[in-house]
Amino acid sequence: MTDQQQNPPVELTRRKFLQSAAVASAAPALFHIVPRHCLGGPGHTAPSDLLGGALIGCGGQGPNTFKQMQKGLNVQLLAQCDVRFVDKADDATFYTDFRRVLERKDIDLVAIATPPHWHALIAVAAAEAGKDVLCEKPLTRTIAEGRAVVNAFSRYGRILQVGTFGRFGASRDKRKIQTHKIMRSGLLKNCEGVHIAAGGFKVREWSGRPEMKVSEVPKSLDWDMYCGPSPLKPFVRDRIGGTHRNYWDYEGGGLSDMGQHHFDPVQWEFGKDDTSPVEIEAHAPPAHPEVTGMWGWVEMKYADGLTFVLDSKEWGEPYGRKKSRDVKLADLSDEDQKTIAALPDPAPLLTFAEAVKTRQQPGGNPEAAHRAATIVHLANIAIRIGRKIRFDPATEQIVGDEEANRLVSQPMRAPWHL
Amino acid sequence: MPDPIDVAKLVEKMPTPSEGTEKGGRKGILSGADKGAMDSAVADLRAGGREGVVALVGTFVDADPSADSAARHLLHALVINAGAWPAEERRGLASALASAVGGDRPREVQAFVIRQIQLCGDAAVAPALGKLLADEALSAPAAAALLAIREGAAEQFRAALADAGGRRRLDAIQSLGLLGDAASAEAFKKLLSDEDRDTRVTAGWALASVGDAGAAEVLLRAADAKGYERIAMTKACLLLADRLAAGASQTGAAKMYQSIQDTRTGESERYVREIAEKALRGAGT
Repeated sequence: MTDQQQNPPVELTRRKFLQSAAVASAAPALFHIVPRHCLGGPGHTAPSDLLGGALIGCGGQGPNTFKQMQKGLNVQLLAQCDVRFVDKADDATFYTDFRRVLERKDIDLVAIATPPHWHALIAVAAAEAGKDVLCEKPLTRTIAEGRAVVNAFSRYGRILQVGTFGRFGASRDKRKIQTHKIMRSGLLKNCEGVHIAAGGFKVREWSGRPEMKVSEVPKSLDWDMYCGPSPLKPFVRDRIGGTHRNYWDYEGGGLSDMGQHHFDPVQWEFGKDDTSPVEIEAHAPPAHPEVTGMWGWVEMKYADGLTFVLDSKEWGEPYGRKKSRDVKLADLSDEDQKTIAALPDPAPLLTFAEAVKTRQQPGGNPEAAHRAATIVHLANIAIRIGRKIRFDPATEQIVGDEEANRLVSQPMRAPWHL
Repeated sequence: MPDPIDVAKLVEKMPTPSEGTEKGGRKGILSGADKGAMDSAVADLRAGGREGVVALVGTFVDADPSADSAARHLLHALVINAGAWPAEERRGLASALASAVGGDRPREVQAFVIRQIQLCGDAAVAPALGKLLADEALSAPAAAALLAIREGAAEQFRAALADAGGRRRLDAIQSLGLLGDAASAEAFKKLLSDEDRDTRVTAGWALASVGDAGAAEVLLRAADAKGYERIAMTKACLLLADRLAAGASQTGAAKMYQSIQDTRTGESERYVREIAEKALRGAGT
């Protein structure tokens, strides 16, 4: 690393502002003569407008994730990190070890597009290094990882947005805003709402092929680093690339991947960004120990009665226990309906760029993203366990089933830990 | 005397990879899973007791999924099912699995069996797992299983730490930190000056995790490092300070926060300084 990268010149405004853990109070106005090139504008990028960015996980979705991070911000790509860069890593522009990237003082923002088993670890490390993060979904591989992410971003005053954006549209939809207001008001007792997500989970597409043969590790791949916190196992070609989704060690099939896309805006709509389902039951065959596979449906109930259903439509009998049912204004008394009508709409959700600039929470903030990921993790646990499970949203533990609870938090391989 | 269980026949009830010719099919996946047949196989294996489990593990092949994927699927399904069994019976299963590790069986097979113990085992199998911490290939899965079990784990890791090197030593340090083992604090302190960076960083975090008030000074010195190690050790200092603040040592916590505030003067570390300042304000200092 050059001296410039280790000790870059101190820039005014933007970088100093981002280095704060909290929004600074207004300072007295000072008079400066500023060179033209510092002001920005057409043909000029002011130094203070330019942020240093890094992409960790450069395959597949990675380049798009970085572009997403650039929206509304002026971000220069300074570092790319991937465990497949063994042949080209120079520890200046290309890296295989994300820790080398995070120790750079000229990096302000990090886009994370590795497989999910690395998401929480790298996100937390980035927060500890003073960086803001855009992280691909699902935010985590296990429920316990999510709480660690929430705590770290709160502690270090950093911004994290998860890479799914449906909730922004939901938050502008009149009908969904009304549902949100009803659910957040506390006026609705014994919610009878049932939201059914039918199909679209790519169950077959992202089911694993359990009999794939072990093969030689590609020379350009650091396999130990790829496995990271997950068990080190013999190399099978499908364990890398988009098919990593097919392995419990790295993700949770199409349910994890597409599930957070679907349920993140739904979670917002029904006002459940700060809690989780309490009863979860699945209909599925016994799960394979290594690869994701078939499942029929999962039914999840919140403490207030709200029900979410995932119906795969790809295995077994279709779900038929309950019918879809909206949460309606008519579910409330006349007086309570007037109360809802008088409530202001929720504040617009901030984009990542707005959050970075204002140091306020973005729409897909850590707690919301963690709770949305928890929905898919609980669904997968119910599928893998084959029994109805009960979950405590406050302690974030499964109650009365120790074996199932061992899937909530899974020990990481040293030296990786949260 | 009951007939010995024919595990091969039970394995036949587990799904095999699809040819991909059915509508919406995809070659190689288990789309033909028949839940009824699989549940029946699991029930029969359960009825076969210890003998059946050991016989099934005996069919596993080293690192060849095409040879034994269905057999492993059956064992895993049994282990999952055991979560609803009476505790005594589940303990019996864990014991049967523990008897199948160690010795000459291929390491990859043993690692798989250990991962099943991780789901269903309890303190009774901790000593058997502890022995595996001495094996380079099995230390990591054994550590994961012990951490899942928790009860009886710390003493196994303490014993392993005494003569472990390399990755095995990291397994022991990290695990003792996760268990909050205060008895290992002195061992962690010594490791802060190890020549291996991962060892130093893991030991620093583990020391902070156990909340040893006597570790403040040595941890702050260790945090005067460069690059990623500085970031990681600073985190450890903040973690220890938080532990002290939450416990009986407000003065110790304040000293740590003050030291962090005084030494993180550069712009790039302003966010850390502000954390310390906020903590000091909260403590009224």
